[in-house]
Amino acid sequence: MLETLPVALAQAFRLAVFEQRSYKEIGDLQGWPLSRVRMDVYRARQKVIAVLGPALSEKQP
Amino acid sequence: MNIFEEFEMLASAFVDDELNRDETVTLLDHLGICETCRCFYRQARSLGDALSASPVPAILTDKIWQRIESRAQRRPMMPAWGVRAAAGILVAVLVWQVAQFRFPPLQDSQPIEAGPEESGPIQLSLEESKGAMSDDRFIELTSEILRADRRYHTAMLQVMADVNQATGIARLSEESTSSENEHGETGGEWNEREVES
Repeated sequence: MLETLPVALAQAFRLAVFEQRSYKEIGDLQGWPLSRVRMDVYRARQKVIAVLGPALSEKQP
Repeated sequence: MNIFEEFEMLASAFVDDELNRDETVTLLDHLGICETCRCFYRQARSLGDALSASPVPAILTDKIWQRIESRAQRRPMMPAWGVRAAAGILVAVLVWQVAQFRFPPLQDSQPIEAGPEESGPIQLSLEESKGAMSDDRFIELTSEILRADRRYHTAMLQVMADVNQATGIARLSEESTSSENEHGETGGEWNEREVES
């Protein structure tokens, strides 16, 4: 799944979601400003949700 | 980036607990009126729950409620509009937790242990569920609401009653009397937590 994302988005997503690092940590690690971290995590999350959307929706009340 | 994406990005950061107070209030206000962004937020939360490697405790006990009560009495009030939005989100989170409990993912489908038959403190054990938020975060959000307006006590207690009813593992608290003594004048309000089983 993550392999299909642009490298930067996949990296941001992995650090934020799987490793649960703060945006500041991610920014420090990657040399990105916080605004970019926030945007990249969002874009990655958006794309993953677009793929997994139906499965996620099934879990809704 | 359109207006929906702006709020979805806020929702994404909210899921990661990366919003400041003003952004949180702005987002919660918007989620209260926008189904599109609410849908994204729910999916983002579901995604986080599904992918998170570490289980998050989701156990609601008298002790947690006491901590909420204690925090709620300490700080100044927040604006009523923020409270309404936060209350809406909190109710949604609780409903979501109930839904997670009632319709767990396949990997979490182990049977949930029934509680002992004897009466005891109300305790909702969602141990097999990867809950939507940690105890500390739940306490923080809930106390924020109660701090702002004590009238939300009744609404919160009703939510808890609904949770208890939905999960079917609520137990009446026989310790409410001692709890009342411990909490002085607020003890009477805690008695409302008792749920008809």
